[in-house]
Amino acid sequence: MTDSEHNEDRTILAQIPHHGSHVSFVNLSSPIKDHTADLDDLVKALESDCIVIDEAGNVRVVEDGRGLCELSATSGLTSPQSRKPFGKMDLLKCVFHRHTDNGCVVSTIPRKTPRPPKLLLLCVPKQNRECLLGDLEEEFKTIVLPEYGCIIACLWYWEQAICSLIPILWEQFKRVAGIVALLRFLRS
Amino acid sequence: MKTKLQYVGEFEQLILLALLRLGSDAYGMRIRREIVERTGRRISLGAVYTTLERLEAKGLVSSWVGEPTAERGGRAKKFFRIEASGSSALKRSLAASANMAAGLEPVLGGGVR
Repeated sequence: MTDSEHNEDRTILAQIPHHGSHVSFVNLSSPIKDHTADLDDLVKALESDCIVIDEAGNVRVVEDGRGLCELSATSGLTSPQSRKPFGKMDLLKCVFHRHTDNGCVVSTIPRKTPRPPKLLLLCVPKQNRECLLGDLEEEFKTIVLPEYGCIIACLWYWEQAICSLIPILWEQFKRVAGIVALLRFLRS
Repeated sequence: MKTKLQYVGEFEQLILLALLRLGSDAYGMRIRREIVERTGRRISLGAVYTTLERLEAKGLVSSWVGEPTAERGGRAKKFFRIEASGSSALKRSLAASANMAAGLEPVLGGGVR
């Protein structure tokens, strides 16, 4: 990392206010601006990509106002330069770099709902496909992700998707087996 | 001609009871969570939808599609409502279970709820 990049980082980090009774956030879109606001104001303002530091000091990323994606120092992310676990400030630098250079950490942060398995898309009857996927996504975004964080939420999503397949496949098997049994009965 | 009385299975009873509890806000995710929170059973959305589809085919529940919402990735909710025939079948099935369990409290250990 060059001196100018170090300076750039210091400047950016200096713009992030200390944690206190207010919530602080930095808008990542260019030009970078920093604000301090009450939590309620912040919630209203979440329309673009933001880093959020809440009163407890948790660092979160908000994408398009669609939900919070928690970044924790214990999430197993490693610094692309040093391969050491991230500290909070490292996380802020990396999230900033995600928008300013090639952003080497972005792929390790699941920011969107995982893609459902193709088998699920194929097997779920058409009339229930959209609502089942919508229910999965809603529970993922509104309940599991804020409560348990990205990694567990993604595991939950896949577990739910795979477990949903079993009764659906069983129902279809019973239908096919019933038709086969009927045909055999008619032939006999 | 005598019509055949309808009964529902154990999981179907749970689904119908969840529909009654949730009222007009009964859709897949809420139904699943209601059952998980009240019974502690781990059930999947696939099981919920498969059962609801079967109940709808029997004419015990009806459904309608709501508006798409952003938190669902632009997908619509499918709401479900219990019909009068579903309510009757549920009462009949619960009464049958209660009748079968009546007097068996000592065997079952401390009462049946």
